Amino acid sequence: MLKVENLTIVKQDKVILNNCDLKIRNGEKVLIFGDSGSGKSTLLKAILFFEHHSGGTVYFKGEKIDRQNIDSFRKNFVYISQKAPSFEGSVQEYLCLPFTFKHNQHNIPTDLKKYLHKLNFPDSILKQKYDKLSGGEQQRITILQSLLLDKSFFLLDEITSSLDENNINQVVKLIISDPQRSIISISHNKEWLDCVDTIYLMNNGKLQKKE
Amino acid sequence: MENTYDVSMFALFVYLFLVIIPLWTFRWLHIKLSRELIISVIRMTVQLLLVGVYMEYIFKLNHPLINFAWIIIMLIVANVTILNRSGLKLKKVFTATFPAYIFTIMFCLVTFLIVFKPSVLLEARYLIPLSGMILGNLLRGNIIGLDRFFSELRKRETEYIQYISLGATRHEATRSFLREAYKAALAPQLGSIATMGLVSLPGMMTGQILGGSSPAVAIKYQIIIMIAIFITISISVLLSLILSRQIAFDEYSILREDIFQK
Repeated sequence: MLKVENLTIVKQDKVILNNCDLKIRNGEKVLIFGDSGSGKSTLLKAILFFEHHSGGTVYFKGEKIDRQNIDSFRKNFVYISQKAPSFEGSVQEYLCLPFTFKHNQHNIPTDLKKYLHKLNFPDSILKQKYDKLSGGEQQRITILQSLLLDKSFFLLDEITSSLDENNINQVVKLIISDPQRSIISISHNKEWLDCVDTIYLMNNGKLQKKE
Repeated sequence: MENTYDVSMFALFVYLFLVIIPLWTFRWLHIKLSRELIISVIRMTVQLLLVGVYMEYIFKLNHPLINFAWIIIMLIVANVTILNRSGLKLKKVFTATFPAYIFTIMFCLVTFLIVFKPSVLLEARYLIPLSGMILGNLLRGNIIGLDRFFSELRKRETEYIQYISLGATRHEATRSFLREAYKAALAPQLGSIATMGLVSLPGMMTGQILGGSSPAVAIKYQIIIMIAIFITISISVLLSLILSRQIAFDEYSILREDIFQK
């Protein structure tokens, strides 16, 4: 489904990613771990072309991605980072934010509460101010927000690092639960280990598959 | 015009020497600002002396074309200062923001025709100080606006990527950054409108009263200039944000690094 070949990124004469190869089939769950600064976050951004490629190719469903089809390519993905975005307004407004974008206006979600229950939030949280929530709560709400869009491919950069053990388990289970969903997750949390199909190690910009 | 009491040059220089008071407090608290203070005071004095000299000429000539030329030159200086202070490269951004400032100033001058006769407005004695005040505030507001917009966008890049991946267009993904920068640029001015006259007498009003105007007239001018300043900031910041955003991304919607100084 997604194939990354020889992806290389050089920034100011420093090699950040060194000929990375990655192949992910439909529904595959992948975990990447490695030291901080080894290039993991750059890899996720580079897959979405938010870093300038110095070399390499990205294929999606057999199609080579370049500047012509970049916009439609990106729409297949959800990207979530370690820190939840800042937002002024209620939790309900935050959850509905993606549906104010033209691209999503046709599929506005009907039952927000059903989603809230998946991460044990009470209905009343919808009325609360998003920026008054704790960092962990904001992160879990952000994860729910991305699930509302029903996308097929998740790129997750340390999304569970600010959560406590109980919540990590719940979030991992929820994200893994859809067999159709492909995932690349960067994480140090051991909760991901048992749930993924493939594990990669990133070391100094080199990506290695762990057998 | 009634004449204001003139201060002798000697007395002025004696007064300038009072900066030794803050210089002494800096020394005592080991604050390394002395050099900066001395340089700033010298710069201010030289700049004002120069302004005094050429204003004399501009007022004597009192030609609308020369007055407008002066406004254009000041706009260029303002644009250069704004970009330098907000860390943006002149070569890349100047032509994007300049139309915003030209348009805003021209619009603002047109609104002055509501309260001034054209013959009055075109006189150097009115046109130059009024547009000077507006330009100074345009400068302040746009430094805050552009600086906030681009520094937040750089700092919170993942947020921007997150929005794009949620289906946002480049405009939709930067909307919250734009809103925040716009608010930051307007907030100080909003605050000063609300407290106007309560604590400090505004500079323009003080000047007019010292110059011999009645307070009743000075108040009217003050209200006009406050509204003009607010309109100027609100139009110019919005336009310059939109126009600079237009050139700030490459074909992959990545924020271009080459628009920043260093």
